[in-house]
Amino acid sequence: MVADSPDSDTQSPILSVRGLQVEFSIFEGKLRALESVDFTVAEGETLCVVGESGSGKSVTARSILNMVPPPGKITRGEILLRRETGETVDILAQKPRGKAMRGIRGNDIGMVFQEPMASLSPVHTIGSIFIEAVQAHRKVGRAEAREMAIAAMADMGIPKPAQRIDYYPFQLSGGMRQRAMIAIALANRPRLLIADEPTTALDVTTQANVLDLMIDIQDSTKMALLFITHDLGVVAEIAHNVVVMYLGRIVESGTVHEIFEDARHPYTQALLRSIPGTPLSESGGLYTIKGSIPSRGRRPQGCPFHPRCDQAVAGVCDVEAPPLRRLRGNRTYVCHLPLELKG
Amino acid sequence: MTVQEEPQDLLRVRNLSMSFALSKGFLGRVHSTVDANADVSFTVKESETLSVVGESGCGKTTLGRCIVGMYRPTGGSVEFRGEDGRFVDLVPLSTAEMKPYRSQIRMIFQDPFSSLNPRMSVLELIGEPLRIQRGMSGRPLEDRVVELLERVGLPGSYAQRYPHAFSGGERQRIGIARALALNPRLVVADECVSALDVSIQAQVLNLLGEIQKEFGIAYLFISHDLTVVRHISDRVAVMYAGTLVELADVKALFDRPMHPYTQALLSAAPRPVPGARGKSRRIRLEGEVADLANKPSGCLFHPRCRHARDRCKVDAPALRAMPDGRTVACHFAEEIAQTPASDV
Repeated sequence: MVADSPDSDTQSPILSVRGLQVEFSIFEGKLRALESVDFTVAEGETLCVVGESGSGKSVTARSILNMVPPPGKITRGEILLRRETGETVDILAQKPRGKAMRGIRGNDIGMVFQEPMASLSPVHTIGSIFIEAVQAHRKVGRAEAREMAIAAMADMGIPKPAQRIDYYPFQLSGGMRQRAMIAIALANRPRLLIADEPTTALDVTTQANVLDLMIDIQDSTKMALLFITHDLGVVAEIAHNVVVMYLGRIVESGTVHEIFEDARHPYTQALLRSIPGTPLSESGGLYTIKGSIPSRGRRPQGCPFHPRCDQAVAGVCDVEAPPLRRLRGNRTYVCHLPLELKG
Repeated sequence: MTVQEEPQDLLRVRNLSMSFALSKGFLGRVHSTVDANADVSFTVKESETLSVVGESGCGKTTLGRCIVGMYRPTGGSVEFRGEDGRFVDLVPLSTAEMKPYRSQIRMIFQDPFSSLNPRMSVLELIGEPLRIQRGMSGRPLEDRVVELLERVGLPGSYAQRYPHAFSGGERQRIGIARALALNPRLVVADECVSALDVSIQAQVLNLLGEIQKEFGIAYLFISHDLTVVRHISDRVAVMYAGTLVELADVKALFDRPMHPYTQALLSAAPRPVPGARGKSRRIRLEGEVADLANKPSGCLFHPRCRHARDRCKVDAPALRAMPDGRTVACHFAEEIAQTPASDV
C-alpha cells in the first residue's frame, strides 16, 4: 500500500511547522505541552505522528487548526500553510476566531477526530452537517449541496446514502459514523486532512475499510494527510514518514522504513520492542520500558526520557538537554547517544 | 492445589446462551430478546491462556460475565472443577452457594479508571475480597496486601493511597493484585490492556505471564487486539454475532485460519511491519455485523461471506472437529482453508 514515498525535500510542502511551542497556564505555573516541534507535510504524503498519552500529538493537531483550547497558548513558532492559490499564510498570524482562519478550517484543512459521536452535532442530521460545511465555504444552493452530500456518502461506501443522510449521528453504526465524518471533512476537497486517531474506536475490519478509503482518496486527490495515532500497526501500513513524540517533543523522525528498521532513539527502539510482531520485538517476553510516563508538569531534567531509558549515561543524559542530530533531510533524532569523545 | 501431570479441564462451558430482553410490555412480559450468546461450548484447561477474540458486539464480554457469575445465563451450563476434582455447574447456584467459587474465578476489568472505587484506599480495594472471603483483618490483612502489591511490582507503601494518585498502568496492577488476592484458579481478563499505552501494555502482559507461571492460573483473555492475542495465548476462540465460529491452537489459527470470518479478521489486522501487507491481500468484509435482534437465517455470517452458497442460507453450521484438533463452524471449512487469503 505504501507507494514510493513522496520526497518532501524536493517538493515544497503544503504544511510546514517550525519551532512550535505551546504552553498551558495552570495553577502551579506554566506547563510546556509542546517544544521545538518541526515537521513538514508534502502533497500526497502521509505523515504519521506517533506517541503515547501526554506526548502532545493532539495539541499539535489543534495548533495547526489554531484551536488550542484554553488555558493553552501557542507561545512561539510558525505554521505555514500553502493555499491553493499558491500564497503561503502563517496560521499563527491569524486571529483564531477571525474570518481568515474560518476560511481555512474545513476548506484548506479538513479534520477527523477520534470519537465521531463527540464531534458530530447530535441534533443535526448527517446531511445538514454536510450541507452547512459546504455552504460555509462555497456558494452552492441547498439542493445542489444535498446532491453533493449523497454523492460523498456513496463514495465512502455508505449503503443507501440518499436515505442515510437524513439520519442523526446516533442512528449510524460506529464505522458508518466515522465514514460520514470523513465525508464531511473532505466535503470541500481540503489539501490537508488532519486525522486524530480516526480509527482507534473502530473494529479491525471496519478500520481496514476506512483506512483503504482514506488512502484511495489521497491517491486521487494528492491530499496531504497528517495522521495521529498510537497504533504502530496502522503506522506501518499507511505512513510514508513518521515523527515520534515524547513529552511534547519530537524525539525522532524519518521514513517509515527508517523508523521501523533503523530506529536511533532509545524510546523509538523501546516502543518497537515492546509490542508484539515488529522487526525489533523479542521472541520471548516483551521488552518493557521501565517506569511510566511522568505526569503533567513533572518533566525530568536533561533528556526527558532518561529516567526510563536503559541506555542513559549518568552525568550526561540527566543533566544536559540532548542535541538534535540530523542524519539527512528529514531524518533526525534527539539524543546524546552515541556519545562523542571530547578533547 | 495439586500439580497435575497433564493439563486437566478446569472449566467446561456447554451450550451457553444468554438473551437479554429488548422490550418489555405490560406486566413485564418480554416481547423481544437479543441473544448475546447462543449455544457456546468450549473448555478451559488448567494453567492455559484461552483468548476470545471478535469485534464489538460479538458477545465476548457477555461470555466472560456469564462465567464469573455477573450474569445468569438463560441456557446451558458453566461447569467448574472444584478442589475435589468434581465438576459443579455454576449456573443454578444461589449467591450463597456461589461464594466459594467466587474466590476461584476472578476478573480483571478493562478500564482501570472506572473499575476502582475512588473512595477506597488501595488497602481497602485489594483487602476487600480477603476480608469478605477469608475474614482477614488488621495486621495479617495489611501484610497480605503489601505482599500482593510487591508481587505486581508496586511499592508496599502505596497501600494507604487512593486510586486518583496512580497512572493507568499502576491502576491496572492494582486491579491485578485484587484479582490475585484469593489465589484464584481462573482469571477472566476482559480487554485488560486495551486502555493502556503501549509501553505500559508490555509491562502488564509480562506481569500476567509471570503470574501464570508462578501460580498456575488459567486465563480467559478477552481481547480485540490480535497482535496481543497471538503473543499471549495457547488457544484462541473466535466469536461472531454471539456464536463461536472457530477454536484452535494459536499457531494453527494464525497460520491457517479455516473459518472465512477468521480469515477476514486476521487479514484486516494491521501488522507493525512496513510494507508487510498490501491492500490486495486483505479480505474486505462488506456490510455490517449481523443484527442480533434480527438474525439472518442459516449461518449468521453468510450475508458477508464470499464463499456463501445456498446451503449456508438455510442450514446453520455446527462446530465440527478437524483432524488437527480444532473446531470450526462452517459447512465448507476444508475447502475454504485451501483458498489462500490472497487469492481473492
